[in-house]
Amino acid sequence: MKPHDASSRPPSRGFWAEAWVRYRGRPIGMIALAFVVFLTVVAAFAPAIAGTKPVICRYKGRLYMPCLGYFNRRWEAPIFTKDKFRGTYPQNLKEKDPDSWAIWPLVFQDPYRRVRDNEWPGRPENPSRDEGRPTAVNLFGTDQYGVDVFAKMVHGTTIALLVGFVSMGLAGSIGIIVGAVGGYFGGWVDMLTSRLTEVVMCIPTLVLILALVAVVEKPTIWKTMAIIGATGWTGIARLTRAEFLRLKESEFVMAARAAGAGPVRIMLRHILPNALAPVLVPITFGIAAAILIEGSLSFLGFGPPPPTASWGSILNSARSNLQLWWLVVFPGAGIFLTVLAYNLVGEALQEATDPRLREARK
Amino acid sequence: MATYLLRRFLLGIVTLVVITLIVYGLARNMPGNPLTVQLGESDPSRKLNPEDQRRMLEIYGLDKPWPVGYVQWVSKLARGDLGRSITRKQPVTKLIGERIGPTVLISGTALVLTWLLAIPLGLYASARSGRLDERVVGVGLYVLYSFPAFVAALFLQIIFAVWLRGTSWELPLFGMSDLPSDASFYARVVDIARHAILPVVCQTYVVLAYNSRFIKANLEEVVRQDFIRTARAKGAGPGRVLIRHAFRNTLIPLVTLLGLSLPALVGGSVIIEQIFTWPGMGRLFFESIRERDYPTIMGLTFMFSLLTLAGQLLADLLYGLVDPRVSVD
Amino acid sequence: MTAAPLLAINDLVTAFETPAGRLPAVDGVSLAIGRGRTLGLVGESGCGKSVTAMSILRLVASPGRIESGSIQLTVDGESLELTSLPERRLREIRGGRIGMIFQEPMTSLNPVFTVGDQIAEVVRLHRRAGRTAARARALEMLKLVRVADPEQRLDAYPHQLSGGMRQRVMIAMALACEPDLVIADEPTTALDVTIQAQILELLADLRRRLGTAILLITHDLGVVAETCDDVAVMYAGRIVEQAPAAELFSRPLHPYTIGLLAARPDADRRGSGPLTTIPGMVPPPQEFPSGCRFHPRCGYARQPRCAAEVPPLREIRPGHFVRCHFAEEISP
Repeated sequence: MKPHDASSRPPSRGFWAEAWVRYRGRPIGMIALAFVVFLTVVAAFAPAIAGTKPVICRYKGRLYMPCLGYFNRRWEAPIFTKDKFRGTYPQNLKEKDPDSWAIWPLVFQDPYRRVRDNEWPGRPENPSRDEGRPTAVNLFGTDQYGVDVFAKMVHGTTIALLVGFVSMGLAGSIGIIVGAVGGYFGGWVDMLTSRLTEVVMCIPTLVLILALVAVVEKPTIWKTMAIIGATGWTGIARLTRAEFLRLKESEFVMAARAAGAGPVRIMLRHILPNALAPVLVPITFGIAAAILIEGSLSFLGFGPPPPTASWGSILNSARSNLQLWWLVVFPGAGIFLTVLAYNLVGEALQEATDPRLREARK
Repeated sequence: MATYLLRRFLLGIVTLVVITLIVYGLARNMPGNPLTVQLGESDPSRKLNPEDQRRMLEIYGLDKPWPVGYVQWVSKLARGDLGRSITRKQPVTKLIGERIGPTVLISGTALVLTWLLAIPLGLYASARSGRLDERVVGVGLYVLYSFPAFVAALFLQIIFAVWLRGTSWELPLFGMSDLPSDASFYARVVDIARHAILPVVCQTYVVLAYNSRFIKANLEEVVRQDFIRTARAKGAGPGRVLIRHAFRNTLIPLVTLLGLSLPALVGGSVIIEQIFTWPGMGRLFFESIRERDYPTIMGLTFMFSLLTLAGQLLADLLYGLVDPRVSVD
Repeated sequence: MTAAPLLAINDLVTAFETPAGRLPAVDGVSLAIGRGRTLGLVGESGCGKSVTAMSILRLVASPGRIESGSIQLTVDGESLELTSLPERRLREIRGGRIGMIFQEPMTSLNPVFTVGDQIAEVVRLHRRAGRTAARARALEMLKLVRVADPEQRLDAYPHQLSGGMRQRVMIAMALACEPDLVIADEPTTALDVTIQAQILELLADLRRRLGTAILLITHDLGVVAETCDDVAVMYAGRIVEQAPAAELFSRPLHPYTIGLLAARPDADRRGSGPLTTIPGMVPPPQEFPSGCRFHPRCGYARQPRCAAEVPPLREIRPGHFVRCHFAEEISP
């Protein structure tokens, strides 16, 4: 007689591994995730994809990476200022050091200025206005000042993703803390946090953001991100609160309390890891929303001041130049596809970590 | 039910008070405030001339300590005095009064349209769930939902105002009305309607897409409940089950959604009115930010929040009516 | 039984198509319920008894479907094949000719409609009754199921009633159109023991008064002993024993039934040693043993026959059917 043996079943994989398997099974989610990864790569390598500064060059016996100047002014080696390059590399490198060599970005265009005549040997300056149609040289065309749109899009990717991650990092932190504290402690603490959440939810986000932008002295991209993060946490807070309310009655929490653990330890170490999965979903949606908000702000003219290239600012210049359709199509498609991708990832994530599915597996 | 409403109302008052605190806090931190030593840094276009500065001090009690100034401002609020616009030299309430009509026209129509369309769409999607036509529509709605309103606005403008220029399909690009005020009533109505089409479409489609997906998801969840099985065991047909049993239960979260969607509607109106130069409150808000017209900014922020709060209370009221677990106890 | 049975299930197979494969929750079940008789369908959780019940009214949740077999209902002398009946006609049967009571009274009632509305709904679906007539009938039913203060309760919402009262409402709904058969799927499992007794007594009383046939599905042998005329025991998707109640309890012939009866804690045997159990566990559908599905846990199993051959359901004694190769040799 063979008793039915529990150990003969395959071992369970652990929650995240299971969720990943479920996620993998959804082709749309995988495509969206691939797109998001692609965007991240583009954002990280933007100066190597489009720019007028060499990726690596050897000048006067030493190696430099001037392209990093796109990320931070100070990372462009001072020797180039000393030698009066003034940002124009191709001619100057050859002239000032015949032994120099350079590896150039894939596309020689600049997101902040118009490429001048013969700056790249043999190429005329960028066209502008109606002649700025997409061509082989200017893949996405140029704006009304002759600045290449492709380069702007590429560098704008860095801004967009940065906005998404930083603002949602902030929003997530605030939201989780507010929700966790309210959900766990209950009582008047919960009343306070719930009222706070309600108040911030009540003031329309864009209105609040614009009002804050008006109050802030110099709107830099970082301040914008902080503002978006400081206003976008309410959905996360509500969900976290719901999860904590539910989980604090679990037996493992009671066991932890019986063992003498204090509230902070219980919240951080015991409840939060279990509550994290559903909370990741609104955070993902929040990234899409943050990118959208930043796009709207730049579009309205309240974005970071030039020369920061953002997709929304391209659309801003499109408003007064509606006949230059490429100024609308490419950044519009960029924002749309990015938002779509993040929304799809969020949805697939939701289905992969659905608590009801989790329950069914017990 | 009465206790429930009373509680919601009192909480609403608390929320309102906190909102006034926030708005006042913003006001006190405005750059260009002569009491803070930042005049040298702020750019000249934002500097207020002495006359305006004095007026601002007056309105916000900036020359007095915090609590006094706050009380002063709130008591003005209670009397309906939102201050005076610096750039337009008129009471803020008067400005809002002029602009609220056009905003309601666009946003109100969008709200009604959204719900009129979302409910049938959601019902249809849930009834035909999984089939090809529903999947296609589902994908379409998803795409719409991710498509930013301002990009769509630009696209629509290009299509209807540039490419279709001169044809009968053309739609006007800006403003609310091109006709002089002595034109016939009917002509003016048509003219305003033509100007309103694009803004309304832009305001409607995103919320529509989201709401119908919400309704569908909710219906699918409700349909899994035990009482639906009971209804079928009683011999109810699929239509009756869906509409009478399932949908009636969906109304409960729907009403909550209605309350939550109001802030988004207001925020959307800011962008849309700006793109189409529609003379509503959203555009006023935008303009006053650009002009750094602080009294108007603060007044409008407060108004928007107040409207949203009122909307939420209304939604709470409807919720109480719709869920017997709340109303009958 | 000389007259045709009210409901005859023959070789019913209901299976679920899942990622783990095809799971036959009901694997060749045959039952018959006579007019006015009570049949108890007993088995542990997961044996397929609820799915059998759902199959009768075609309420099996997807991805389950009825694959083969027949379910015949005799209505006004006419025999209807329920598995292939057009949807519209089936709806007339549901609630009209066959009523159903579910296990969870908490969640089986629609929270947004009054109790009176929900009972009246059945009436209006099957009789051409107006609102007042339906409401009157609902009141009548509430009185029948002995709900206190029936006039008040008509306009009460489910959340205002206790579990026992909700179950009475369910019974009222099931009986409102005087069906020939009532299927009660574990009607008392979710209720307290004292309420259980009341509900069972109510069911027995109603049956006496109205002459309705009852298919009572339960895992509780005690319930069956009290209320049923006939009993069928189900294991892993198959009927393993079927007999009149008295006969089954006095002379069980299938090893599983014997084990079940022996496992009952018996107040008279107090202090006489440890409780008897059936070793092993009920196999999940993905892991049904070959041949006789009970053989891994059976003390009487003799290989290789029990593992190789599916025993047919045989009439060992008059009216007493057993699915076992060696039923004649087994004594309790």
